[in-house]
Amino acid sequence: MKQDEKNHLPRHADFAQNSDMLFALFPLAFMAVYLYGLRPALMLVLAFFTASVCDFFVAKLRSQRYDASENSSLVFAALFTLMLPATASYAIVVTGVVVAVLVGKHAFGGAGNYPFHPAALGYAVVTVSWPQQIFRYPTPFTHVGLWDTSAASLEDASSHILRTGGVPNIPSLDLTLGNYAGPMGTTFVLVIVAVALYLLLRHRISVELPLAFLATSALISVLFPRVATAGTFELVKYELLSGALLYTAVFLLCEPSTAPKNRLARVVYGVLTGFLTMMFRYYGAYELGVCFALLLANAFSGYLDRVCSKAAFQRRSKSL
Amino acid sequence: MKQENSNYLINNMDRLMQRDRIFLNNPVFMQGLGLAPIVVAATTLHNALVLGLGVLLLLTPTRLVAAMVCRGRWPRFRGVAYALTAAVVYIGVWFAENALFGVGMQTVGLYLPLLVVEPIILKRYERTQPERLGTAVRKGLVTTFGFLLALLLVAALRELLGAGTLLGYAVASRPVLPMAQLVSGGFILVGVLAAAWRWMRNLIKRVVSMEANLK
Amino acid sequence: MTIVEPILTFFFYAIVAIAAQNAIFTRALGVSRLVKIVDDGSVELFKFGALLTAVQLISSLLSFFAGRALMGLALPYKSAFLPLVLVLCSAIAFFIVLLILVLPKKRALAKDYVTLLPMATFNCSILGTLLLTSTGGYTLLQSLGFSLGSAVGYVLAVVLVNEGQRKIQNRGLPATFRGLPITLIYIGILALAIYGFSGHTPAI
Repeated sequence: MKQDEKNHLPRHADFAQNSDMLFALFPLAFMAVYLYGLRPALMLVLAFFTASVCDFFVAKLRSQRYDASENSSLVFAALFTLMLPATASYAIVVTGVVVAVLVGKHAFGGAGNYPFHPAALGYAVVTVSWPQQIFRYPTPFTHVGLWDTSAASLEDASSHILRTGGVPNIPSLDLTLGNYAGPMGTTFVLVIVAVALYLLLRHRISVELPLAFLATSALISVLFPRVATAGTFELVKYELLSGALLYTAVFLLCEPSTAPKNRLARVVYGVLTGFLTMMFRYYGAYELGVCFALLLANAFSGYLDRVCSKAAFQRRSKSL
Repeated sequence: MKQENSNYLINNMDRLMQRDRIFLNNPVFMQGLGLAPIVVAATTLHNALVLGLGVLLLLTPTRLVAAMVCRGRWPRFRGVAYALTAAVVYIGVWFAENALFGVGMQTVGLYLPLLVVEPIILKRYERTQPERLGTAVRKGLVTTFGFLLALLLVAALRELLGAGTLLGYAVASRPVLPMAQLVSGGFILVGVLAAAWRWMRNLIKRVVSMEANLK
Repeated sequence: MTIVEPILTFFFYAIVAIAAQNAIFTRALGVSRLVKIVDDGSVELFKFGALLTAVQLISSLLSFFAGRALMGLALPYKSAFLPLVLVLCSAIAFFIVLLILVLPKKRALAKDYVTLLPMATFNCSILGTLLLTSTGGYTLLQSLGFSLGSAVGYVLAVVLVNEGQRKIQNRGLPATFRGLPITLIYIGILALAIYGFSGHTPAI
């Protein structure tokens, strides 16, 4: 009995939350494989393996027991990999995951202690290091190649077209099903909305944060449109559905460790992130600026929590 | 390790660690001095040589001359005295750098003249006690070598990781992490190295105390 | 019309110096000092910020004319003397601010400021900004705008990093990362975010 107790660590507190996230990401991975072949699956396997190795390495370094039920690194690995193009090299996958897990998560103290979202950090690092590789996406249903991707046909994503002042022209059916060039796991709008509902029902993500974020982004694109020649609805549709915006809103924004806890703070945080994202999109250097904007907003989440909690406390004590 | 050696080390461990300005109490990795040039400008070994020569020629003379000038009369103006001394010594440093590197000095941009007010050069002004000349020279040299060690290490790593070259000669086939040569990469790399330095320091402490306790 | 454009130029350069060319996040000017302030926790940020801004503006004004005078001289190796001229400007600014602090007879109030003054003057961000504006050929208005932005940007960076440290230190940070390493990594990640906006390293 005692031996049994010694050998079994209790399941980590976040295990259920992270498993739900992984479960929610699975349909996206499946769609990516459907569109691009086996390569996305291989990239994900490599990402998971790298994340686990990093976790194990750090556990040994800190003389702690390797807790296999602490699977937040797997979530970050999956979140990061699904933002890459299917033709991204394996070196990029490994580098991004290593930076995300070691610097983004473990340097700050491990599970639940990080102030910046590790997957966003990994993506930012990889974007800055290899911008030419990151922003060229393969056409769906073409041959991508398992090891050598040089023969794949690449094109620019809709975020690039919006940047250069054009309006993408993607038929609505393709748009909702995700049958257009873009980051591997982020183009499947219908699937993302479905899993968002699932996560909402399981109370894994809040409702006010993504809504505030998306509403702010939509409002800015309506009031200050990037492309003067497009109709408002068209433009908002493409703005919201390009550049991993919806994906970020659902998966990256509500990370419990980086987002504020107070409700009002969450709304303000959502508005702030939306504003920063649109600024990065309009004036920033990279077409997919939402990860950089998220990193910047993360720096303010603690402050927002403090200010809004104080305000709520004062309001409550005044009413008493 | 002999008994009395390890005992001496244990009893004076903290003081010794404080005084060792090259390894155990490295001015860059442990005290956080001299970060501006290292994080931004030390992206290649060539830049490191330019900056290193600058610090080598600037730090000790500044400290010595300023120690001679500030004999404790107006403690509030020590900062001004140290900064002006550094700026005057810099004139000589500039000519030396120009002779050795010529136009190559431009690669570090404003980080060479910036050394004049860098905390690693000026730090001593914060303590109002006048410094003995011998101490000034000794501490100046030791701090210089600590800084040079950190500078060359970081620059070599950044050039290797970021461009796959060393002093311009290709070493790796492909850069491992191009971000290492950017400012943000510099910050993160120096942060990680500082943590590694602390880890090694703790390891040494543990080893020495184990040696002392074994006997 | 003629008054709006200079004001716009002034504020444009100020905003650029705060955001896209932030003294800390893009050029690491004054990082050693920032790390010490954040670690220490006892330095009053508003007083320090006020002093920094005052010294920066005054020395920028002085250095504009001094720099012009130096460039006008027929000396062959002017770059060697530039730091001396600029340090003299900041030293004069130091004395001016000291006089302003000490002249009204409120000794107790001025004491804190006077202790912080050397730290706010002999700072890489002061000399760095002076070097940038004098070698970059900025006009007087551009220099003043940029200097104001630089000082404000520095203080904002200190506040931001301080706020972040508050969040980090409450959690289970590994002992080897405590203090300098995690502060640097934190600044590095913010620098990365800002780099994502500008996309290139500004000229050094």
